[in-house]
Amino acid sequence: MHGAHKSRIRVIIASIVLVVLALSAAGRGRTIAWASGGEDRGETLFVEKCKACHTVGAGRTIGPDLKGVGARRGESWLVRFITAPDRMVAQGDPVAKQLVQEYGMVMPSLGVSEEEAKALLAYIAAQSSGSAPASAPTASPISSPTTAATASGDMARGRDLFSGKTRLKGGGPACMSCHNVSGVGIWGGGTVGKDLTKAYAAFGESGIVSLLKNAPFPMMKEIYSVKQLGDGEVADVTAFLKEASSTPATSSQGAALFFIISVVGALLVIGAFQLLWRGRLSGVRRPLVKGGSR
Amino acid sequence: MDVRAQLSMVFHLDKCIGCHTCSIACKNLWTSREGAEYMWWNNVETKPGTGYPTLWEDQGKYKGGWEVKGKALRPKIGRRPGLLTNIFFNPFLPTMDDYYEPWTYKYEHLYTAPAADDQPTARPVSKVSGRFLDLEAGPNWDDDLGGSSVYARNDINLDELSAAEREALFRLERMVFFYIPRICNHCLNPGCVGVCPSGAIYKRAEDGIVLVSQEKCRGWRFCVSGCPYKKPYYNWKTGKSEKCILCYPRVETGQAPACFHSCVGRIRYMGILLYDADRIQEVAKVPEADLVNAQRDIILDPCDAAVVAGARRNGIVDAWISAAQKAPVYKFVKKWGIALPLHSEFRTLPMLFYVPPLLPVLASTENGCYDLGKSDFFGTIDNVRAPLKYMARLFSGGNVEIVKQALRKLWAVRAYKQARSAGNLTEGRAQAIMGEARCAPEEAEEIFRLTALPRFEDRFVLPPYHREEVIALTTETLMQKGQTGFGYTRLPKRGP
Repeated sequence: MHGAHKSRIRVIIASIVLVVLALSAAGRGRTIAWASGGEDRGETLFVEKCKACHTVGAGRTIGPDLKGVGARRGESWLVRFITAPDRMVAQGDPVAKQLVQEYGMVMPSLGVSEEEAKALLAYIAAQSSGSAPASAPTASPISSPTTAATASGDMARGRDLFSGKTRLKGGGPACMSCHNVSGVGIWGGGTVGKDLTKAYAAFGESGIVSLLKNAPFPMMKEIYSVKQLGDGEVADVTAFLKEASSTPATSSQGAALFFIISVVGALLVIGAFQLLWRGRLSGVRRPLVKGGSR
Repeated sequence: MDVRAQLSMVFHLDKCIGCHTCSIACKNLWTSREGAEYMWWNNVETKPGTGYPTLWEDQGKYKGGWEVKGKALRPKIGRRPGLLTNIFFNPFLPTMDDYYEPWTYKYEHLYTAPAADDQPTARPVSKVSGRFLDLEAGPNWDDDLGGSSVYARNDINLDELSAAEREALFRLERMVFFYIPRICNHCLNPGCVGVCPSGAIYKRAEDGIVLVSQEKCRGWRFCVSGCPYKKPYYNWKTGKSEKCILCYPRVETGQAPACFHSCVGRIRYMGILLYDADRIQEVAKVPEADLVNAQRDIILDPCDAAVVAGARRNGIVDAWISAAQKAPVYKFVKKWGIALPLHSEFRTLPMLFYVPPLLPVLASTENGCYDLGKSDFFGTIDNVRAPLKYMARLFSGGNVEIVKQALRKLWAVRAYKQARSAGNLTEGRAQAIMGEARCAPEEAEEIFRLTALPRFEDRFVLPPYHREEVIALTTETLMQKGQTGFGYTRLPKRGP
C-alpha cells in the first residue's frame, strides 16, 4: 500500500520533469532558428524585437526614432540600455529616466545579449547612413504600419475578440485573460498585463497596431509570435481600444466595489461559520467557575 | 449465540480510600512522557464533583456515547456526513483547561536566585509552553470536595434532586462524598471505535481490550469526543491518541494491571466474562431504565453446557473457560447482582462494574450531640446519606430499584456479620434484613469473604495467554527476547 503510493508519486514527478524538459528543448530550438535564420542578423533581430515600437527614420511611434541614435548616445551606453533597460532605470541613469518620462513607459527587457545588441546597432547605423544593402528594403520592415487596415475595424467585433466571446483565428488566448479594459465583463479582465483602458491614448493607432502585430513584451511575444493575429482582428481590437480610451475610466470605482464585495463576502462567510458551529465548545471549566454554584 | 470472552473489572467503592496510588502507578508506568503529562489513564474522582475533564458526564456538551434515533443506534456526535464536515475542526472537544495545564515548579531558582531580602520561591511553570502559570485547576482540584464550592454543586447527577435535597447534601452535618476510580471501560459497544475516521481503534478479539493503533491513528481526535467517559487522550507531541491499554503486556504474562496490583484498599477485581456478541446491538438500544438488566442478560453463565459448547466453537480454549468459571467478576455482576456499570445510559455497555458505596446512615444532632442509635443503628436503605436518586443516575441509568437492591444486599451482609461476629444485632433482626434483600446466609458469607478476605489469586483470575507458545511457533525465542519491550515499531513523524 505504502510502496504503491510512493511509486505513483515517483511517476508523477518523472512525467512533470519530462514535460518541462520537452518544453525547454522546443524553446531552445526556436531561438536557434531565429539566430541563424536571416542573412543579415541585425535585420532579423530588428524585425523580431524592435520594429513594433521603433523606426529608423520614419518618425516616432511608441518609442523614439532610432535614426542616428549611435551618434546621439555612444555605443557602450546603448549596449547596456538594450540588454537591460529596466536595470538602468533602477540604477537611476539620468538619460534612461528622462526617456521613461518622455515615453510613459520603460522599454521592456527583451533578453538581448551584448553581441546581439552590437549587431542591432550596426544594422541601425547602416540604415541611418542610407547605405543599406539592396536586399533589405528600407521602407517595408521599418515603416509604420498602414492605417488603412484599421480604418475598417469593427468596434463590436473587437470587443468580442478582446473578451474571448469570439475566438482568435490564430488560436491565441483572448486579451482579457491578462488585460483589463474598464467596462469589460462583470469581474473585469486579468491583472497579469497592464490595464489597457488608456493604451490607445498612450500609443496611438499606429503604436497599437504594431504592438498587436509584433508584440515585443516577453510573454505576449512567446504566445502571439506563434499564434499570430490576423489583420482584420488587429483592426477590430484596435477599434475597440480606441473606443475604450474615449470612455471615462471607471477602474478606480471598480476597485472600490471589488474591495467592498470582498469585505462583505468575507463577513458573510465568517457569519455563516459562526452560525453553523454556534454550538461548539469553547471551554467548559472556566464558564462553570464563572457561573458559580447552583 | 456468538460467545466471546472479555477481560472485565469490578471496583468495590466501599473499599476505596481515595489514595490515588493506582493513578500514580499508571502514570509512572505509561504516561510520564512528553505530550502525555496531562493524561491520567487511571484517575480517581470525588463524587459529588465534576470530575476530569470538567463535567465529562455532560454529553449535552461533549456529545459522547450513543443515542437511539428512531430505531437506529447512532453516535451522539453524528453520523458520517456530519462527522466529515467537522473533521478539520471538531467542535465538541474538551480544551486543555478542561483537563488542566500540566505544570512543574522552577526549582533551580531556589539555588540560583541572587541574594535578596526575601526567600526565593519556586514558581509553577507550564510543562507545555514553559511559561509561568497561575494555577487555576488541576486533575484533582475538587478532591475531597475541595477546590471551591463550585465543582461539587455543579455535578450533573444532582439534577434530579430537589433544591432542598441538594442543599441538605452540602450541610456540614450531612456532608457526604465518595470516590470513583476510573479507567477505560473496554466497552462492548465502544463509542471511540464507532467514530474513529481512520479505523485506528479496535477491540482485541481474544480478550476485548480496546486499543489505538499508533500507526493508523491520524490524530483526528474523534475518539476523544466519541468516548463518553473521556478516556482516550490526544498526545500533542506524537499527534496521536492514546488510552488505557489495560496493561496488556502485564496481563499477557499473568500479572494484574499496575493500577490493580498496586491498589491499597484492594478494591479491584479482574476476570473473564463470557458474553453473547450477537445481542450487543439489540441490548444497546433498550430504554435507559432497562439497560443494566439487559447488559446483565448478555453476560453468559460460564458453567452452562450450551455456553461452554458455544465458547469452544468460537475457539475459546478450555483454560479460558475455566478461568471464566472462577472469575470473581461474574459473581459480583451476575450471581449477586451488586456490581453495576457506570452511566449505562451512554449505551456503550461498559465492562467495568462498580459495587456502589454503602455510606453511613444519616445521623441526627440533639443538644449538640450526634445521635446514632436513636431508633435503629442501621436504619433503612432509604436513609443513606447519598440520595438513592443520585446513585441511580450514576450506576443504573436512573433506575432506583436496581441500586436499591444492590445496596440492600450489601446491607444484608453487614447485618449478617454484625449479628454473627460483633453481636450488635439480634439474629432475628439480621434475618429480617437478609430476607428483605433475598440474601441467603451462604451467599452473605461468600460475599463477605470475597470482599473482606480475598487473596491475590481470588481477586485476579487471569487466563493463561500462552503467548510464548505462539511466539515459539513463529519466531526464534532469543530474538523475540531481544525485541520486546515498550516502544515504537515505527517512530511517529513528530518524534516519540
